[in-house]
Amino acid sequence: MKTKNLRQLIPALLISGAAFLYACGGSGNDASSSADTTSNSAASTAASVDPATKSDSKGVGKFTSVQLGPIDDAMAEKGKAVFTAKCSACHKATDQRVVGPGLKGVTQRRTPEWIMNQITNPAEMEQKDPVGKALLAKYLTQMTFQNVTDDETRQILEYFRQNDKQ
Amino acid sequence: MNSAITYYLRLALTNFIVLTVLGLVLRYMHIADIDGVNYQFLLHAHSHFAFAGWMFFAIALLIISLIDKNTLARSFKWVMILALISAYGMLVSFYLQGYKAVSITFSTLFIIVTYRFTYLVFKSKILKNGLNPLSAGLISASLIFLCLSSAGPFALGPLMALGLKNTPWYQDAIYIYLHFQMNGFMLLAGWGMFASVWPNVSLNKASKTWLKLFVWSTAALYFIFTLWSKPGVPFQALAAAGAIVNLVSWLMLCIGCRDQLPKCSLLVKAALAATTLKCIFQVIVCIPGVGEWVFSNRDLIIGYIHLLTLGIISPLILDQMIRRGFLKRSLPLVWIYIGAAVVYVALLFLQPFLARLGVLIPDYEILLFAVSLVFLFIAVVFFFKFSFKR
Ligand code: HEC
Repeated sequence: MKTKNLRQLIPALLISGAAFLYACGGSGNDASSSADTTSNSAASTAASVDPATKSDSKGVGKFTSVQLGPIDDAMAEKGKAVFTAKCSACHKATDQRVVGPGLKGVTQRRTPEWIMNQITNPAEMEQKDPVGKALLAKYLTQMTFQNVTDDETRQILEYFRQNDKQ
Repeated sequence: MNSAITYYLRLALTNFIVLTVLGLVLRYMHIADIDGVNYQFLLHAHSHFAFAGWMFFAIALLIISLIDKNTLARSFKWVMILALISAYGMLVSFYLQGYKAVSITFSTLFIIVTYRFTYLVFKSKILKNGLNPLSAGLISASLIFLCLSSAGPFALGPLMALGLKNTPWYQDAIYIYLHFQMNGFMLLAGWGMFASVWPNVSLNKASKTWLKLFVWSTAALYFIFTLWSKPGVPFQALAAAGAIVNLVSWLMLCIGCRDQLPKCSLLVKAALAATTLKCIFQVIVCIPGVGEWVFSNRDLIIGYIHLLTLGIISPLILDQMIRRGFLKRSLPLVWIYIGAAVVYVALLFLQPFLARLGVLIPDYEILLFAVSLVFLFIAVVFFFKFSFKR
């Protein structure tokens, strides 16, 4: 009976053993990220930048120049809705961190381009942008792309601007 | 009679209260600011304490009490004491400094405790003589998965040393731990304990095969947790095969036990429904493209974890405590528990879908907080339903 029990478990052991080896032995996969990632990847490389301070980096991604006008409240309102739906699991609009940084004041410490690139291209930002690396090192969690459109991204930026004026 | 086991089981319920408080504070931090509390550290404290202080602690005691109803052997007593030390050690150290030397030490202690526990259970021969084959099969598999889960944390060091910290393998190693703890150990042990109350289920040939397939596919389900990094077709195929076999074998096992199931308690019926849902979700996640979306969605991941812990594992633990006379039966309380679990998991699952349609659940974070408050209430009432007289 006992040997029988054990025998039926051997394949289970093998499968999981294989899973484990496979998981450890693989080659370069595209390093996109997962919602609950807790990796300290950039920890060693990024000590030079303090993510709390202001940076003029435009970041890495498709937004290279963003024109800003006076704050458009209707647009900001839309941005707030997108933010609540797609970002609030990890961010608050105050200066308090939860999973990610509190986003009060983000428009003062980052350029508009950087913010929009961070929202649309977080994986690459964490790998290549100095501030992105420093943020990852500090928060030890990867931000994941939340399927926001470019328009929504712009609306979120407007919401951040409005939030920072108050 | 039973003083040691009852004493420790009451500690398990105390830990359940502590756990709900931690969850409540985490939820509170989404609606209001608390200065000086690091959310991430608290989150680590919550999850590690849940695994060691509630789920492992309670399941281990219930398995021990299957072996010997009347006394807690010295060797097992040490397991429980060390499990308790590691649980509170992790709670405090993760809360204070996150993933650092002290918390890693306590986590390692916890892993050693689980090895020791597994060894003692296998040595006790209960799996051979004392249990029906269904229960024995599930519990022995659960213990092997418990030990396997530690491959995850132990791989982190070497992965770091090999410079693979920046790659998906690092995250995949973390998922080994989560998967084999929750789907492997807790779920199988929970159902194994449940099946232990049937005096002589003898498995027919078909059921034996389905049991084997259920256990093997549980291991293969791990591949689902690699899908987030788009690992390629072989992984997709293995994940899908695991998920489908898991669903089918689960349903076949349920059909095989269909005479017993209608007599189950409400808690078990809830766990049956939750397990079926979980198996269905696993198949859906394997549809190409869906997995990536799901894994980028924090609420869905947290929803899945709580479907397992609040929907399956905790109900099975509480049911065992009630059935064996440690807890007084209380139907209203059970209904409140199930209601809270359904609302909590449904909120986490629905919000991401509604968000795709541009719909917001009003006061979403406040609702989640309110349900967490209900869980604290339930945990406290269960504590007072604890019965020393059996
Ligand atoms: C899974 C959790 C998660 C989600 C969801 C998420 N973020 Fe993030 N975010 C993070 C983390 C963690 C960081 C810091 C580490 C990093 O950048 O990798 C961050 C960083 C940021 C930053 C930089 C903050 C600073 O101080 O410079 C901005 C801006 C940001 N996120 C905006 C958003 C927006 C907008 C959304 C919704 C579309 C969003 N995030 C969704 C986790 C998340």
